[in-house]
Amino acid sequence: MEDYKYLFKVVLIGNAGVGKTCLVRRFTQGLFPPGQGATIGVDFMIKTVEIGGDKVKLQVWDTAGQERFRSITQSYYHSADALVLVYDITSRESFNSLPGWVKEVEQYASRKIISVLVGNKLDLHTEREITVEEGNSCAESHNMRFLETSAKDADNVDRLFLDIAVELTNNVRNVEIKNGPIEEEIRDHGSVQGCCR
Amino acid sequence: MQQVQEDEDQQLEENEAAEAVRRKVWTWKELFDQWRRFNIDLAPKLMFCRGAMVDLLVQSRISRYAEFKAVSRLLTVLGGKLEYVPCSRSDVFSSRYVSMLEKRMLMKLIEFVLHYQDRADDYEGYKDKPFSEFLQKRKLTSTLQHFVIHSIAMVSANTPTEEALQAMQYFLKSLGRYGNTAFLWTLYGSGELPQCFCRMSAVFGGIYMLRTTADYLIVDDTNVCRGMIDSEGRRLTCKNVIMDHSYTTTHHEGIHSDRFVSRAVLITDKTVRESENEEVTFLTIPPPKPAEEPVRVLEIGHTACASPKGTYVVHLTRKSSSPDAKTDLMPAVELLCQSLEAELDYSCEKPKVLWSMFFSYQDKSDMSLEDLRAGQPGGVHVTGGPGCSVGYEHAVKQAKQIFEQICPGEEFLPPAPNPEDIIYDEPSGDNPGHSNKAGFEDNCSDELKPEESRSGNGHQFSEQEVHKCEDEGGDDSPTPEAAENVGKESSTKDENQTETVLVESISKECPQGGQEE
Repeated sequence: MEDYKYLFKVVLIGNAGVGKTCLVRRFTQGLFPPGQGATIGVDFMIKTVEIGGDKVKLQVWDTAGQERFRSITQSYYHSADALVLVYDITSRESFNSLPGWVKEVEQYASRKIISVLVGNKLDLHTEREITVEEGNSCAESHNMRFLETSAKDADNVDRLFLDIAVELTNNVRNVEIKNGPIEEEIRDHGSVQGCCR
Repeated sequence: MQQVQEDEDQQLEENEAAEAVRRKVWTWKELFDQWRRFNIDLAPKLMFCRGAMVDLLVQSRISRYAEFKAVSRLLTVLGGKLEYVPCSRSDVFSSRYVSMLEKRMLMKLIEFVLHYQDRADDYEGYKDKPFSEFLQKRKLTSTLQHFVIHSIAMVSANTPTEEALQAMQYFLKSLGRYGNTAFLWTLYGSGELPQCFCRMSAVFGGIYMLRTTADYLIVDDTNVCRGMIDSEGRRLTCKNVIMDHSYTTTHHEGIHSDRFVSRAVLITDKTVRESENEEVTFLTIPPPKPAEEPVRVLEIGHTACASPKGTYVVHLTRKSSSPDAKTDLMPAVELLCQSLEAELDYSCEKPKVLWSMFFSYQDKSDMSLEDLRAGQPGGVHVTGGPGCSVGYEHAVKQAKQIFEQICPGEEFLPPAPNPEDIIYDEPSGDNPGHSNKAGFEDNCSDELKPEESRSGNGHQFSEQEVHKCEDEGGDDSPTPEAAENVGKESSTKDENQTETVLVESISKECPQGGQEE
């Protein structure tokens, strides 16, 4: 049997070209593919990390280019434990699309989901169009964590996914200990209303 | 707004204790506030555990995109009451409704049917005679005949014996693969399946678009389809179009014009028959007379992700000769539920219908592909719709046939590589994600926008224009093959219906399972 204790599904969303695939590949393979085209052939990638002595497998799902025509179907969000919403700090357009994405998440994703807003392409900070404050306040207004990353320079990429892994693992452990519902543990994400508990 | 809903959700939970004492009375607002949790299929179907769809999902590894739940009980109506159908060996032995003698008879029949091909002598004379005569000859009691005909073989008393044996064997072989059930249900509904196929298609470069319909076909001088114009006015080039028969303007004069499927969808406050666990229930209501059609009922609840806690979605489906669903299905609704008109009767055990919908659609699922596409331009493929079959057998067969016509000799949905096994060769060039032009022409000039033509009788475009269009499409497009093939389907999920137009790469055929308009 496979050697891990927990498996979590993390899904990435955000406009085309913000660097979702690069984040996934930086984290799972430790590389930055230059000049990458629209994503083809990437379904999800897996990385096993160790959290407090337990092997935790993260299954990171990429959009497979489905975002190009805003055609991510409901099933993409099903059973996702965490969600990473990505924009490009050098693209106002990608930032302006965030409310639309948030709306979709509220419609389709489980209410238990952990969500993180990520401003990517920190390496291009000289061309920055979105300030850190803007990103931060957007995240706050939607009850999301916030982080700026660079898939190219590997800034904050591991931290992004490891934080998610830690939080998800803690949540599961707390449930195991209490052997009851998760109610109190992830309060800071709003409510704990999943559609399939 | 969200906070409000959450508060109400909480309120709901708190009310649960009280609910146990006194039956909950739902208000419209309470239901409406939970719209997000309803997944209502227009054409729900079950998967036989050893059926064509399960095999296809497993073989192509598309199964990884969905979750499944076993249909946990099979019910039938016997003497006006809902009773369990014994179908597996263990069911037969534990059933209270069959005597020792009947148990032996049924077991013998099951053994025979599993190997009927090798024992032709036993049914030779009955091959084309009604199934009920064959069962009579084997001296099955009327209770057993009822179980076998309506719920196990799922045929009618008049079905020719050989056909019925085949159907019964199909059912029996499906038992035991995923536990003591013959059927699987897709969590969140049948509408999940097209999404799974779309995802697979997208992973390998297919494009599909939500909230977009195909409005016009572009047909050249030789009556061959060259493309289409979508609801955004964009022009798509393609060699093949796959669409449901309801989008065509031809009505297949006289062929199956009297075949309909009557459907009802109910939201109820209670299961049709109490049980310890929440069940996924498949119920057959046999017809009052052998010549009439049975009503198939599927009840799914909260744990199957069909509806919020405390409610159930009940689907009724019946073959019909007229588009009058209410007349066809009302007797079944009244048998299962409290009166639609009256207030909730606390003393009645039956579920109360909180919301209902009746509708009909034409059934052309038995028509051949040749008949369906008659009168259409070249390159147009027409599907027969979901029909009223229990499973996806027909949908898978039809999808394979169309695939074979478009890609002769190609393997149908070969196994996808595991994500870990994919080796990347780095593509170069700009990120086409920035471009909206993949496979499309954006600015369709006015003269290219036909005004009245509907698919089939379309506005005729000159060859020259078409070629120009194709060339440009090819140059601009990072994935020129992506728009080769357009499958049109509308699928419904939730209350907010989204119409789905699939624009798929030619090698990623998408079956028409579980949908209709």
